[in-house]
Amino acid sequence: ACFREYFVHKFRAMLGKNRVIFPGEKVLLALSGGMASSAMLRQVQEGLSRETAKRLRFVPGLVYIDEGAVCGQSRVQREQTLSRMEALLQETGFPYYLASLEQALELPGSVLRRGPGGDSEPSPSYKAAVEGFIQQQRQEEASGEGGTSPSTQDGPTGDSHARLPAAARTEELQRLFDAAETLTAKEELLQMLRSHLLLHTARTQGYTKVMTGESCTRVAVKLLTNLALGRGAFLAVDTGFVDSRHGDVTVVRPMRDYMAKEIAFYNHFFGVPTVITPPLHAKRREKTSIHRLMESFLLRLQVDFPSTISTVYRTGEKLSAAPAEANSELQRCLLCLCALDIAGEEELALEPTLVKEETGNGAESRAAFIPLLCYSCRLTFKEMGPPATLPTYVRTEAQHRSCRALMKQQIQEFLLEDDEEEPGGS
Amino acid sequence: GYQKPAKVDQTESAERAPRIIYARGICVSSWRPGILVLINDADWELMGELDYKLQDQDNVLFISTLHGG
Repeated sequence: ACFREYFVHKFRAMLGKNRVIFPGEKVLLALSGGMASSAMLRQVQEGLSRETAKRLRFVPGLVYIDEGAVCGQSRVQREQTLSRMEALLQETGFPYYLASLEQALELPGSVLRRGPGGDSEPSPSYKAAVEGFIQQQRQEEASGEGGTSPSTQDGPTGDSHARLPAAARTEELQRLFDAAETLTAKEELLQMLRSHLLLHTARTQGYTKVMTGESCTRVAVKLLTNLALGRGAFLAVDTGFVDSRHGDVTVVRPMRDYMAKEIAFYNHFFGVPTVITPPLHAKRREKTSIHRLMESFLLRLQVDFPSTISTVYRTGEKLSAAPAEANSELQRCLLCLCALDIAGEEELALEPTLVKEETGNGAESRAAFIPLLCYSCRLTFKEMGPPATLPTYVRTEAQHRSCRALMKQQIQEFLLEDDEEEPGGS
Repeated sequence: GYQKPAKVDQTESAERAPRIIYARGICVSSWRPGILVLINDADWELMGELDYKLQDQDNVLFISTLHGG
């Protein structure tokens, strides 16, 4: 009983302490069917159903992405998994969306651009927002109107009956993944597509927040893995509670204080349903990935030194995101949307080592992509297949940015500078 | 070579069972960190892990926290 109290309290404390989720806000829960995200769903359900004073106050929606195509599942297995997940989602009464990773291939280029809003907007104080919301609710109750609680909706909206995508799409996705040379690149590619798809779902369905179920264990592993991948500059956004790189949609990680073990026990004792799917499919020639190595390393260390994970986690907590910089799309990484951390001349020194032999395709050559990527995305990109295998939205956005950069370079000498330098040439 | 895995008999000492064990007739590959072992709904760490002697009617449950969501 006290474990349950502790577990539930931790969730509410996490949300309460950080105060980023405003009352009445639409929050999309990203569910993988795994233990942590299922526990997160249960916490949200519990939190919303309490008596008015202590109730959580946002409007949840659920999304599940079927990644079976790249996890070695057959179409039959994917159908089965989807059925089980759909039943689980329907049980909750919240609106839900079933997506497949194949849909990432059809995303618009705008998904790689930062949305409006975020830090540039002055947001109302949290306390004022809560008070305003409570007042509004009291007024609604007094005048006899019902609130927009999930149970009064007409059932789940969105793609509730979407089934498997066309086989051609599945093959296209598998080709993309097969073209990646290392398992590390595949893992990064998967995470990238998944996050783009989540973002797109949130944007199109009007959600301003996305909750993902990364546990403390997962966050600690990610912290060190990303360090090894060259993402040291972005550790805070990659693992912190708030990830606002997209601008209009903020990713929130409320489970990051829970150890995987705690979550496992909670799920077992309180009957939280899960749907387990296999991990990313690895071919025989791929030994392992940096991700798996790091997970194995940390978990083994944890056996003899039980404070390992929490120490890594607490150290990570001390990191804070860099202050928001200029909004220009040329200054953000094409793939991960973090600030470009390589500037100017250093690029030229790195290029020969990063770019293999070219077939001279102009805009489609790897060289064209390099200046648009941050350091770690460049390394991942180097291990991915030829640019032609990349999804269309990545290529079109890359082309768009390359053109703009070229254009800017051409008119550079005619642009007025803020300081009193004489313009070059005439 | 392939070693025949020993079945954990509930009346026998857990000491004799190597790390390759059967649970409910399904062969479980050698335990690795990240896999929770519950003996009668309690963490096996509390029982001394492999030092614990399994009693008759004991319920052993394996939960993997790897590849989780």
